[in-house]
Amino acid sequence: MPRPRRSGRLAEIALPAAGVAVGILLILGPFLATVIRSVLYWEPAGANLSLKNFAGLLSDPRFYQAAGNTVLCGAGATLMSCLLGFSLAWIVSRTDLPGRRWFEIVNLVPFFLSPYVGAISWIYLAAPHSGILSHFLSDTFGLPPDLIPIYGIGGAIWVLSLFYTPYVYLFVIAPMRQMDPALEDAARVHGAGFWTTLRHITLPLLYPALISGALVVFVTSAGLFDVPLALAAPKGIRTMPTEIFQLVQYPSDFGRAASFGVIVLAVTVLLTVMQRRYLGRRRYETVTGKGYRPRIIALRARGRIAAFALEAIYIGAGVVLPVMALLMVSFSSIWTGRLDPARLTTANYDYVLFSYSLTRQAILNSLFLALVGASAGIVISVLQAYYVNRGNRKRRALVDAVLSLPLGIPGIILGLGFLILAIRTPLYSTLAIILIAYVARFFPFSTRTISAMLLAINPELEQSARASGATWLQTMRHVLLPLLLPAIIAGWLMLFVIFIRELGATILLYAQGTETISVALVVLSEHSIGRVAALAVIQLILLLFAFTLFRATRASLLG
Amino acid sequence: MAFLSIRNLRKSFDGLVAVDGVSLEVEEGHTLALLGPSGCGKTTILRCLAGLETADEGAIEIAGKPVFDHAAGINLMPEERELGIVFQSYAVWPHMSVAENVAFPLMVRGVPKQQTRERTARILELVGLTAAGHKGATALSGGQQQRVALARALIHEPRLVLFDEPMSNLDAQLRAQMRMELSVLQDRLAFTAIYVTHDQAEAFALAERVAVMNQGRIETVGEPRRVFHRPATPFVAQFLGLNVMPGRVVAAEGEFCRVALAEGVEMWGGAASPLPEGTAALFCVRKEHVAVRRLAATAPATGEPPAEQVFPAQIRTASFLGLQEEYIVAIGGVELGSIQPPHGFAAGERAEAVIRPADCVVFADASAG
Repeated sequence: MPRPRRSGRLAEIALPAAGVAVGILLILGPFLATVIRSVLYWEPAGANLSLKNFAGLLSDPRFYQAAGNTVLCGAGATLMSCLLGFSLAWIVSRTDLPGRRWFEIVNLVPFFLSPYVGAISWIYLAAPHSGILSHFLSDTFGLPPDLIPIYGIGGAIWVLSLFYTPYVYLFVIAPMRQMDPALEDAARVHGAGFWTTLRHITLPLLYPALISGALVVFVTSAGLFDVPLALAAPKGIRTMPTEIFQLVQYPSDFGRAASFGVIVLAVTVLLTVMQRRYLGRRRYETVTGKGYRPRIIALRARGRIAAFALEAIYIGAGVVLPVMALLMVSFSSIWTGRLDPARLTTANYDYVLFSYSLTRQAILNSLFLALVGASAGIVISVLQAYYVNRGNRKRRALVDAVLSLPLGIPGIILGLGFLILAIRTPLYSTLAIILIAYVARFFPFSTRTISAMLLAINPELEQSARASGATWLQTMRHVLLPLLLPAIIAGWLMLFVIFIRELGATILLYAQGTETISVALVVLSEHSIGRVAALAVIQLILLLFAFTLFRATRASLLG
Repeated sequence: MAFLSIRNLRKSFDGLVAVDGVSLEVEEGHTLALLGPSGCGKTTILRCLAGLETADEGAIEIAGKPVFDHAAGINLMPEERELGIVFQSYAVWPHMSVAENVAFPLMVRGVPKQQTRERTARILELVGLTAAGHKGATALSGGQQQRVALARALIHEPRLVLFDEPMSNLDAQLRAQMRMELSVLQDRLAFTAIYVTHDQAEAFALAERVAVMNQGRIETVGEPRRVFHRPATPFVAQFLGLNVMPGRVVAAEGEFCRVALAEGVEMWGGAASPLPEGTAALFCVRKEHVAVRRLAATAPATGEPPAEQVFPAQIRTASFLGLQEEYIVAIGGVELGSIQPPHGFAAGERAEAVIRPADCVVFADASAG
């Protein structure tokens, strides 16, 4: 049977390579567009190659303010997320706190929520004079009603930390569980107390995981548009994402925006490379594949209270209070900062679901983008994961490194790249360009999820199918894909969640008729907070639905 | 007063009893081996000694100082017990160099740097790792990591050193070598040690006294030779690899009794305790004591009991072990393992089995109703 064999071989080589090629094009396109645009400068005579955009940017004090504030936001959020994420992971994986299995799941919920909605709900909670908590504190304790500085860098760091804590948590919880307990036991027996052991043994052993988590949190939280838009911009505090957004609004300066983008890209790539080199040097075999039972520490009364308090603060601030605030505001006709039974209404929902064509269309657009985008993304992710784990040995590492690049690139920067690419083409102002940008920015997430599972599948399973006479395609269909199904579902759901709430890239690419839920929230926020809250609740329901499905797949979130 | 004394220690996990009322004493400078199959509770005892588990009942005293006493509410933290420990997984810290690993017990005790350096160099020389001090700990082989763990457990001169199956991850040759080295180290440094293992050769070679454990209890404790030559219980006999066969006592004569085994085969053996006729019994004989020889014309010895009993037998299986051969020998319906110098018997051959009653032990069978 020479014929089917040959076509089988072609598929085996071409399909994974095609997945990789699409991925590289999706990265390279906006990347090159941004770089090229940054060195083009329009003078009356026409466009010139020049560094004037950079010169203009670097001589503008606003650039330094924005950069400084962004680094501050990122660093603050990283520090707090590391502290919270490490503590919460330790509490649920290493102590006997009652209810820890329940906390283990609930700690992840903020991972699935929208940071923009989180920021809005924290405004409802803590805004001076009108926030629910502000009222509560001034009514109950007589504290000043503008006590909580929710607007500003501090507020942004607070909300960012709530949403990025699960990243650190996920990065450290697995090695924390799988670490040989004898490593800590040996330290204790040889004379180190609990805290000395934590400092000299446990923490250093978890550094690789902690640093990976910290880097992801730093680049993604610093690059996030949503939270500064809601919490820093109203006070006139400049940040990188809001500044880039301003630069492409009328009167726009794409050259300067692009040069800002190039600097951000350079920093992001540099950080990623540094992290890879650091991890390359110190990848410990703390995980030996042996099934260790982690040593569970019996908390004493005070420790138990502290652990409970930390969990209560995190879940309260990250999930319970924001959702409560959203619900209260969305069911009120006029919001005064207190729930008034006389003003309860469902009119806000009526309005966003049925009366207002923009929000109606936005919900449909978001659903379309999430469903189609997640499906397209997962297909190229499977192919890429296959290439990275089974393909050409020499190129694997490089391909893996290149395909991981968008992980750190802020959505608004990638959006800018696609905007520059598409602005003079028919793609501009279509849902298609938003779809392409979504897939380009987020496919590495699902590729990692699938790659992690593929890594654990012994290639001999496929080889025995081939030896039994199956073609490559048959082997994929009957052996590998069924084995990968949990990761495929998990990756798909993750993309769905991300796409439902995406704002940074969309805000630059949307046009009339292609608004998404998140864009509609921004547009609505200029009119009525009740309607914003109602739409946010609708988005929240979609996200929680995906989270529930995700729990059912039992797949792991990070590769 | 013994250096280490454990009194009536009990520990269960989720209702499953791991240690069931164990009392033990160890003299200063001696080694006690806890020997037994996996799950017998030996590691739990070790972890209770280290303070890594908290026993449910009982008391532990080291050098006259109580470190755990359930009744008195005493339970010292592991770091307060002044011990050294070597784990099965070595537990060498991968983020530290060999020297940092070894110096850790001194570092946490705030020993001055100069002194730490000197003591580290001395102990590394003692375990033969002088050249490896600056290396990353995970760059070492299993045997070398074992030495790092050993050096780390000894450097602060602890009063008691605990070994948790330290050799079971090493290959056979390395294990024999490490056993010798450990013996030499112990002679030189004269530390008291508890050594947990499931390998009888290791226990007998290293310990002054051996305690054989089964289901959380101590079956027997004594000098290696006594434990080995006179198995105290049927479990010990089985664990040490003896043939153990159920039967019934049909005659008793002084210290000896005759036991009816399967299908009418009867054998004489020494009774562990006086066993009246009709007692359900377990008949135990070491494989090395089941001799096999070519069929001979000589008449079997007589007497009650005879000095040797000769049975017509058939070789069921034969396997070549090098200096010895192992057979399964059928005497009537009774199958016995036999380890002998190479005779070259093949499976299926007829032979004579010779068993001396003095080499056999008969226990009352407590499990039979």
